[in-house]
Amino acid sequence: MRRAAILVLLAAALPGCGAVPFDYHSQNDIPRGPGMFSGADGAFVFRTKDSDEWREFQEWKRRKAAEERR
Amino acid sequence: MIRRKTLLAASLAAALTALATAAQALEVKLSGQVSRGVLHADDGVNDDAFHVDNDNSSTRFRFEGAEQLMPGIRAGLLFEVEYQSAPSNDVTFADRDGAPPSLNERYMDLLFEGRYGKLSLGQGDGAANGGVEVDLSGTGIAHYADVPAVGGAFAFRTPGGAFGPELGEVLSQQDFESRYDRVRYDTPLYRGFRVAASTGVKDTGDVREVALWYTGNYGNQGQIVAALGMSNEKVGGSPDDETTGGSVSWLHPGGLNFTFGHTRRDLGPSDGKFTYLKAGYKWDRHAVSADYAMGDDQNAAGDEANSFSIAYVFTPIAWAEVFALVKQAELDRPGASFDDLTFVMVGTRLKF
Repeated sequence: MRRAAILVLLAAALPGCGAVPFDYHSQNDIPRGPGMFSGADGAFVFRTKDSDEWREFQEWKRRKAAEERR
Repeated sequence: MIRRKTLLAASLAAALTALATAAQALEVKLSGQVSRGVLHADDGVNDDAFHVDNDNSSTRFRFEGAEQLMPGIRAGLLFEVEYQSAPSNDVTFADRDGAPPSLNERYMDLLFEGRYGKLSLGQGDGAANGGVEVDLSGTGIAHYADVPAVGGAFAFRTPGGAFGPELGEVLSQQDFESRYDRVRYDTPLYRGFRVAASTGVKDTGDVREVALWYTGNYGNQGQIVAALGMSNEKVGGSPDDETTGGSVSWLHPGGLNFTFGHTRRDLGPSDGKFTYLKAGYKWDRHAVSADYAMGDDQNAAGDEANSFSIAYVFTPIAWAEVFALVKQAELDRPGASFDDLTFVMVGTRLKF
């Protein structure tokens, strides 16, 4: 245990050298990045009806309907 | 237990409703993976092939979402379950497909995050979970500190065929208290450091954990991830179950990488130790590594178990990995003689 603590603390003592934190992601979790079916998003995304995308879609439909009426 | 889960599910549902109401635009993501392999096991008496779910990273799916709850506070949820048919850590010659598949909880977690850190509530990682498993090798899908994830239920056999202890009983990585129903707090990141603390209930025990986590990117000198943790579980009438340990992994930009982990578990009269070493190399879409694990006194005083394995992982496309693993484990026990366990496994993980 003492050896582990020393190693970890040694690693921890290095930040003075100007390291930048990074977002560690365990390889044993679901990988980040694209999915076979979900594409570039890497996930199937469900949005509530008041989302920005939903409002934009509704606005687009209204505009299109108005153009067709003209 | 069922009542507690019901309450938790009700809390999750209430929180989801609250989130949906409070947030301007709630977005929930569904993702998952299928992780399968073919395992050949040889215990010196029997040998056979098994179609398994790779317990290094099991077949699972998750829902997750996060939104602004109020100025400065972000709220989120994580719901993840696994579904394993013939888990690689569960199959044996006597039971070639393990327990019948079922949905097993992994995360049912609510998160609240702001400038003062992150609060997690529900079923999820204890503060130190994963603290002996940090690994930048790129071969975690094939092998990492959790040695029993592949072949953990196979027993060592005497030359006469008698059964000894299982691999998982003598060579556990002793990764603290894993996941349980808890409250957890993580401090904000400071120069790559954060402290995490959690308290909760696991089975019938009261659990407390604390851990220090670190990540640092040193540019040309590579990346380091490290963790140091401590856990304590109190079960009425039993001695405290205390684990201390940590791990560190370094990845050079050129691809060379090294990992070290160590834990010590004090459980009344027994005092189990675990040490893990790994060296690897990553290039393009390939990664190779060799690891060596030692477990002392985990199942009985005087036990000395170790395993050596080599692995290769190929990532042809971002959502697919293919791997091969060869592993041999041995157990020295005073007054007894056991044959080695040998495993060969090939498999794949596809993220959908």
